[in-house]
Amino acid sequence: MTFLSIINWLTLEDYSEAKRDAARRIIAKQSRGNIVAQDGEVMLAEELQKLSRKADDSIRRLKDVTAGVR
Amino acid sequence: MAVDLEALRLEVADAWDKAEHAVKLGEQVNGQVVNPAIYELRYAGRRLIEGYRLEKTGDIDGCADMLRDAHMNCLRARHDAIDAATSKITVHLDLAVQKLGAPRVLTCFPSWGETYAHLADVREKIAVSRGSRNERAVIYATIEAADLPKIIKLYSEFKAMEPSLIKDAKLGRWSAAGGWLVATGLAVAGIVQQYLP
Repeated sequence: MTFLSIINWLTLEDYSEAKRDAARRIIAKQSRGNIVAQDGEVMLAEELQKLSRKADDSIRRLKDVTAGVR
Repeated sequence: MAVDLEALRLEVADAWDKAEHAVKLGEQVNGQVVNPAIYELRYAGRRLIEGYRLEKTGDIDGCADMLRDAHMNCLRARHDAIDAATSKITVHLDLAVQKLGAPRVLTCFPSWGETYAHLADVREKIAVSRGSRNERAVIYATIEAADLPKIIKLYSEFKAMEPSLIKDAKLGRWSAAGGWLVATGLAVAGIVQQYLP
């Protein structure tokens, strides 16, 4: 754990960064053939498939996490 | 058989209207994530121009191909906008639960259960549409008309609550850090007291 990561944790910058990263991944995923929007990420069909199921995994995880709280 | 360019153009116009509506809904979630859908509409526009040029040179089949491509671009734009908007909402809520804490999120956002139920339903429909090309248009039309506006409304409520959630989570993290510092200080003081004469 670096000093910067502690500061990011205290200021919740890690949350903001994770949100920005998620938006960037969604854009890269859907930008077929647009090299600028892909930001260097040229994804193979297999990787695209994996990413397209990421939101489904999130839904499942949300169910698991929140089930224990309610 | 003669190609009916007018019918093809009307199909493209209809698909364009639907795609634009989906993009407008998606923009309410996040302006950036609908960019790929907007690119698809741009590609559709390019095909329309190419089709117009080919028609002028008498290449009717070439023009029809361009119109069909434009139609496909519009369909992709619509699906991308809806997929991006629901993905963004799902991942955002997942991150909120992970980073801000499930109890905090569930307490401050009373519509959590309703939002989750709608989102799970939509993601299931999208998953079904991946394996069912014939029903894809109907599935996305249902999502756009019935589910997405409700989800966006609930998501807006969540976003309105988010600043207070973040403030509360920050306080929680600072308190935890303070607790660790005090505990570490006491431990160090204890060790020093033990070993110093």
